[in-house]
Amino acid sequence: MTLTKGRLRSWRPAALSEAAADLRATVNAVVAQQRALTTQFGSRLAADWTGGAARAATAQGARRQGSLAAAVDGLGACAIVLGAAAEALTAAQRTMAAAQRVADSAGLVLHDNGSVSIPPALLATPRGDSYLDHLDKAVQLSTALARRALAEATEADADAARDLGRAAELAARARKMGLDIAAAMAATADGAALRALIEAGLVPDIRLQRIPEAARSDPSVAAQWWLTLSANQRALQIRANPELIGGLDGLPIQARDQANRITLAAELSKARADYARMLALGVNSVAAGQRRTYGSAEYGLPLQALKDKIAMLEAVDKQLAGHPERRLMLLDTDVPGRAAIAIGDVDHADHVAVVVPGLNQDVTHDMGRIVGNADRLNKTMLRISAASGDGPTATIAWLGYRTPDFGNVASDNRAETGAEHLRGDLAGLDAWRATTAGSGQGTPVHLTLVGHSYGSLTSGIAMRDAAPVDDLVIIGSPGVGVNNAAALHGVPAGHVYVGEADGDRVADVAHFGTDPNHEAFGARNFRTDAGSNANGEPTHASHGHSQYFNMHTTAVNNMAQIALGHPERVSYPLPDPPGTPASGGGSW
Amino acid sequence: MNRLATGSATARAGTALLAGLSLVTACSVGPQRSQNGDREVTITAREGNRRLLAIQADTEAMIGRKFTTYQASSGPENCERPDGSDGFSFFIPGRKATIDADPPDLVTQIDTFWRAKGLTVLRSGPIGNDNDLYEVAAVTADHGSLIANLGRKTKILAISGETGCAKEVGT
Repeated sequence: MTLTKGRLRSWRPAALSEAAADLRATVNAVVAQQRALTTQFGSRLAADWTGGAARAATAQGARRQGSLAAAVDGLGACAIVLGAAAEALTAAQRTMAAAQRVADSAGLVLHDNGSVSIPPALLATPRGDSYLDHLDKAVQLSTALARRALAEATEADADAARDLGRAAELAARARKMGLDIAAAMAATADGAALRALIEAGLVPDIRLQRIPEAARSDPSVAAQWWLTLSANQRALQIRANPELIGGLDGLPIQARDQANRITLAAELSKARADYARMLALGVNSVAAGQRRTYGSAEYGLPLQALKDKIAMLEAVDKQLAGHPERRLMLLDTDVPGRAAIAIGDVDHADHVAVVVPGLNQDVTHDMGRIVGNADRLNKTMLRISAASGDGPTATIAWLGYRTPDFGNVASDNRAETGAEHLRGDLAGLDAWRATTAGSGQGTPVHLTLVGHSYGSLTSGIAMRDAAPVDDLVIIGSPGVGVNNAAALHGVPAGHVYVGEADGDRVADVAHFGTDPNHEAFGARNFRTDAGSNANGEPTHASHGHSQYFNMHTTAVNNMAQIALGHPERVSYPLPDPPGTPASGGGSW
Repeated sequence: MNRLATGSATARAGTALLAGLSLVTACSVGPQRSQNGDREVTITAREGNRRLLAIQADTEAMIGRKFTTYQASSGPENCERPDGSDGFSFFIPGRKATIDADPPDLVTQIDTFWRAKGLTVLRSGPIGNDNDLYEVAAVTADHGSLIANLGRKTKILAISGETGCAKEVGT
C-alpha cells in the first residue's frame, strides 16, 4: 500500500519507542535472572551433588542457558531496530509537518499523495511577479519536503520490517564474533550496543555508512553526505556516533540536537553513578557552594570534578526541559564545557541570529542568562515578523568557547580559539542551508552574528576572513580586533552595526583595537538610548553593560530589525546640530 | 552613549590594560541601574505574569478581533535583576490578530488604552520611513514589558511581553 500524508500522520512512533524500551527492560531483567540462576544452580550442584546425573544436569543447564542467551540477544537486536525506526519515523513526520507549514503559510493545499496545488482564489487577483515567485518557491519547497517525508517513512518502514525479520540472525552472528549485545545494552544504552555491532564488523548489515573523512573538516562535504542518507541511516548514525554527529558542522541542527541529547543523558547518568559510587567509598569533598577555579588544585579532586560536571550538565538540561522549541546544537562535556542552544527551527528559519557572550561566562552558571538573551531577541524578531510577514526566525545562544575570566581578559587568546569554533559553526549552518537549497529541499538563510562584550572580539576575529554572515552586530564592545569595519571580510560592506548603551564602561575601553563606536571605525551606530515617543515624552534606555536584550528596549528592537534584514527600520542617532554638545538625542 | 569622548590614542593605549580590567570588573559584577529606574520589582514573577496577562486580555477585548497564539507562554525563565543577581520572569504568549483599522489609528487606540491602564508608553508610532510597520512599547508599574507591532501590508497586529525580573517565582 502506498504511503500517504494521512497514514504517516496517523503512525505513532512513540509506540515503537515504548516497545523498544520494554524490550530493553526485559533484556536487562532476563540477563540479571540468568546470572543469578547460573550462580545458584552451579554452586548448588558443585557443593551438594556429584556423579553422572549431576554432570548431565549441568550440561543441560548450560545448553538451556545458551539458548536463553541467544534469545535475549535477539530481543536486544529487535530493541535496537525498533528504536532506530521510531526515530526515523519521527523525523519523517517532522519533515511532513514542515511541508504542511510551508504550504499553509502560502495558502497552498498539500494533498494526501504529497503533491501541492495552488487554490484558484490565490490567482484570481493579479498581485505581480514577486508574489508569483513567492508562490512558486513555496510550491517547490513544500512538495520537496512532503515527498522526502513519504520516501523516508517508506524506507524506514521497509528497513525495520526487514531487520526485525532477521534480528535473530544478526544476534547469532554477533555472538559468534564474541559480541554480547545484552551486556552492551545493559551497560549504557542502544548506542553502545550499536557501536559494538559496528566494531564487530556487522556494519553493512545495519546499513551504517562510514563517515567520510573529509566531512570532519569540510561542512559542505558533511552536508552533502548527510543528504545522501535515508532517514533510517541517519537515525542509526545518531545512535551509533552521538558525540561525533553532535559536533559535526554541516549537519542539520535537528540531527545534532538528537545526538547531543543522547550524549547529555549518557554523560549525566554516568557522572551521577560515579559520584554515588565515590560517595559510597567515602571520598571526601571540598567545601561546597563556592565557584570553582578550573584547573586549581581543589578542582583536581575527583569528587569535586564530578560535582562540577554534574552541575554543568544539569545546567544545560535545565535549559532544554519544558522548551520543545529549543535544540542542543553543541555540547562539549569537559568541564567547564561548551554548549550552544538554538531557539526555534534553525534548519528552516528565514532569519537566524547567533548571540556570542563575553567575559566570565560559563555553562554551569550563565547558560540560563545567555539563553534568556537569545530567547528575548528571538521573541522580538518573532513578534515583528508576525506583524510584518518576514518569515520564521531563530536564534542561537552560542557559548561555544571558553570565555576569559578577570585573570586573562587582557589577552585575546580565548577569543582566537573561540573564533575558530565560531567560524566552524557558522560555516556549518550555512553549508546545510545552502546544500538543501541547492537540491531544492530548503532555502538559504539570512544569518546575523551578535557579539556582546568580549564576545564581540571573538566575533570580530571570526569575521576577519570570508564567512557566510550577512550582518554583524557589535554591542558593549571593548574592541573587535581590527581598527576598521572594512577589515571584517566575513561581513558585506555596510553591514556592521554597533550599539553602545549609556553607562556601559566596557564599551569605552577600546582595549582590542579602535572603539567600534567611533566614527573612524566605519560601522553603523544604532540607538540604544532614551529617545522620545510620539508625544515627546522621554523613553527609557538600556543602561550599563547588560541590558541590551531587555524586551522593550530600543536596543533589542534594533537588533531584531537588523537580524530580520531591515536596516531601514533601525533607529539611528540623528546628527547633532552644529555647536551643541553630544547628547544622543533625537526622535525615536 | 552614542557619542565618544575623544582622547589621544596613545594615552588610551597606555592605560588600556589597567582601565580595562578595573572597568570590566566594575561593570560586570557591580550594581546596575535598571532601565526602568532604580526601583526593585517587589511582586513575584507569577503575580507579574497574572497582571500582564490581564492587560493583554483587556487589550484584545478592546481591539475586538479574534486573536490566536503564535507563540506559547513560558516561564519561569532566568533573568538578571538590577543589582546583577539572578531573578525570574515569565513571557506571556505571543498573540496576533488580523485588523481592519488603519495602523496609525490603532496605534493611537492602544497607546491611549495602555496609558489609561497606568502603563508608561515608551515608543509609539511608525518604525522606519516606509510607514509599513508600527509599534507601541510600554512598561507596567512593576516593570513588565508589553509591546505591540502592526503591519500595514499584512494587516496583522502582534502583541507579546515579559514580566519584570522578580526575586521570587511565587505561587
